[in-house]
Amino acid sequence: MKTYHPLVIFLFFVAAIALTMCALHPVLSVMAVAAAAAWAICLKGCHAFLGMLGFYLGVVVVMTVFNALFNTVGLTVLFYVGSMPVTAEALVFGLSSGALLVAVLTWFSCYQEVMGADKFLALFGRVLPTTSMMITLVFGFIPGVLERGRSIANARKALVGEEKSLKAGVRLASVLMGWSMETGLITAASMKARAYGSTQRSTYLNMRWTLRDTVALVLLLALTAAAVAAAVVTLSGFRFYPYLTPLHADWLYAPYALLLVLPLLLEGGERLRWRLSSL
Amino acid sequence: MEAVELIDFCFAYPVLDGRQAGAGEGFNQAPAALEHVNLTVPVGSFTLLCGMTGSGKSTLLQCLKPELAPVGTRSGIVRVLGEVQALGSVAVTREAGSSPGFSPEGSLVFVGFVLQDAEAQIVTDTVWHELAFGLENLGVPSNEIHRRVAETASYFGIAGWFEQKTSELSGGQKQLLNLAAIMVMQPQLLLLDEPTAQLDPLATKEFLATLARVNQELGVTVLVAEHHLEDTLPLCDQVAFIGTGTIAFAGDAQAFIAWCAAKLPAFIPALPAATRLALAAEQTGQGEPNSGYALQESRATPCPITVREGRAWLTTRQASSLLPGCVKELEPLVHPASHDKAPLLVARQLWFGYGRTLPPVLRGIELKVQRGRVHAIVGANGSGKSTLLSVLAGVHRPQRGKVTLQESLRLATLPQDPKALFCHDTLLQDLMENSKRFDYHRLEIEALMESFGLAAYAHRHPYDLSAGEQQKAALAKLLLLKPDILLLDEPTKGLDAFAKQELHGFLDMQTERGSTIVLVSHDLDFVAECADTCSLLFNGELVGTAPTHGFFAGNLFYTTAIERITQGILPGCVTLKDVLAHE
Repeated sequence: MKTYHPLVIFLFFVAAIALTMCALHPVLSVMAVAAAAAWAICLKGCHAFLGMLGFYLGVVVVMTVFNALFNTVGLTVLFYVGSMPVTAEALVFGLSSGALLVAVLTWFSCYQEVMGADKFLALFGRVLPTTSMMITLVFGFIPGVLERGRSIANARKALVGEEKSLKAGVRLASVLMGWSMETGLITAASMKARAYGSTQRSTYLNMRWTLRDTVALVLLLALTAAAVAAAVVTLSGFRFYPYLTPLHADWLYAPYALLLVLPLLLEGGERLRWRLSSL
Repeated sequence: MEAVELIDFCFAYPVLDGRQAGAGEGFNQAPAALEHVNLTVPVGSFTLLCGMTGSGKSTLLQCLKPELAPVGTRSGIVRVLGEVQALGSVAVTREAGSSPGFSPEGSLVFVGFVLQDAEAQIVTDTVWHELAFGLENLGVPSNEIHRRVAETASYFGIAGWFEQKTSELSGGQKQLLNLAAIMVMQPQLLLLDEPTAQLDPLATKEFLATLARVNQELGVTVLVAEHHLEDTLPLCDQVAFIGTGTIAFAGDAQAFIAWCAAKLPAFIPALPAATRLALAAEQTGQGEPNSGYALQESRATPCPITVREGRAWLTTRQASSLLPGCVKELEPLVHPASHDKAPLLVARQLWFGYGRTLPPVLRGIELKVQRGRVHAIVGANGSGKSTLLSVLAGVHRPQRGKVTLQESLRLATLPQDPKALFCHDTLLQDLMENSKRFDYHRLEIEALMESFGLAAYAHRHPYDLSAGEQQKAALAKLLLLKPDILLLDEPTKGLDAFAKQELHGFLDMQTERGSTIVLVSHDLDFVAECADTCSLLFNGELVGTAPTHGFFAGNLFYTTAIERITQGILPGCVTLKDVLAHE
């Protein structure tokens, strides 16, 4: 997916995140988690994902426990905690919304990995040239500021020991500001020396639109339309409270699932073709 | 044809509120003004502009690039690429605050400028965008940018890190990127203001080699201000020496050396090692000062500049027995009390890494520092020298192992960039900062400033001092705490030969008073002169800890220029002093 045009990538994330957020449904939300997690593992490796798993499980557990304890709307009582009834509906609702939240978070972490600031800027650079230039400048400036901040803090620590007071913080900020402004002057000179502001700027995109982008885009749009329609039908016939609508296997889940695993399919297709061609 | 032609060019910074406004190098009593500068730089030449710090090198370079030209009054004639672009030959009359009169469009493209600070010059966050930045500014269409960026990246060997974030690059890569980002605009004249001052020796050589390639293969005229002559002098066709605001000398390298020896012996320490060796041998050999090369304006054998020439020169001299042959190994310098005292600072099996998943930077460091000694730790960039120092200073806690200090000793660390230490608006206030906590008085500060030659700058902002003076000011701030152990991180970074000499003097002064110094550096020549013990940090371990002399004499590659010149001819010489001791 990384190799596709940023527009395709961006639209996929818009579709996936919007659908995931709107479709609070036990099956759909669990499918969303599964798809997002599978892609995250594919992108960043098992190890990185397992590192986050604890946090994700925590989110689900907290959501479930809170909803189960404080929401008593459902009618299927499982057991009592003190005088509070814990219902199956509230439990399922909590689990689903936990899954939804985790799915959205995982999509965003995938977004970070695949899209990155540079692709976002490349995409919107034409629409908002000044803003995107400013963001680029800021992104170029931030690592240096952080580095300088670290070196000032370390120098202070080595000089007079650790300081945690507000005064020390303010001083660090003011030194950092002065130093960074000093650096900014040089950056400004460097920009000026390279003709910044001399004429109307052009915007260079480090990526091209190709046929496979068109194919992926068409596929994406078709699947999105189908998934939206299917999700609307699914959700309109579903209720958490007072009784959980019975769930059963349904073809209507298919377009939704297909859309969310689209990046995996594209990636898998790519790998398969690679294997076949190198045989 | 001339790329740059200055005829009787004068420049002065404007006077504001009775004080002269300083910019760039203008940190001395009066900011460097230029007076009656006459200089021609032929098209396609490689011209080196050298001079003491604060002599006006930067001002002169900036005056050649209208976008960066400082505000001030100017007179005379400046021709930049006179025939290529109609931007030259405009005599600007005295008009306070005016910028020079040549058309900016030409100079925007045809004159490129590389500054000293590699990091601050980078504007964008990715390498490819940085390369495209200048062309975007000129409104070049995207397809054309694509081609030119690709071409430039290939030529400069950037293709491998084309997609990387600029913040992840090494210092050398950053400066190379700056050069490439200017070359992509296809300039005909490159102006560089001390481009290698912040780089380590390896990155310096790589950068200069690329610069020479640009000059040789593309015919781009290069005018570079440098104080690092070891590597630039062999490259240049012309040397221009600027002394207090005017060009005191212009000619080829050989003539420059002769001129230096005759007229400006104070500048000799800045010359390459081979040249210094030849000049010094000449002087002692003839028994009278300023003889030899200085007087033989048209001699048969040129003065050696590179290590290769130095070796050839030494071999010939030895054949004609002007120097005594390889007599004997120099007596290794034995410090009388080197092992009888308990060490002041001991590090045992230090392991340190910045994160659990990242590979450890230090893997079992063993270090003992004796009282009153200078212990130098050398190593390539990124070998973990600064990390080691910060662990010793207690800024980072080692994951394994221990740093043991003799009881109640005080440590002080000089950071790589002294700017990190300053936090007040004037130098005096800054030095006063810790006076209450560490109990010292204004009189002490004034005495120290006097002895450091900083008294004149008491009411200046620390950032307005030159690199060498900032270093001294930071050192002064540390010394006020009366530390027992001084930890110095790359103390020679950005310093010229004279500031280094001065620093050497201060370090000697401190050790005489009983302070102990641990310094990390990649400046081998400096280390060879001032350290007692050296260790090489490699792969997270300290390797080959030995007295300095033995350390360098035993190394084949990682050693001083003098050692490389004398290797196998005069064994056991590490510094110029060692060679002269042979005589």
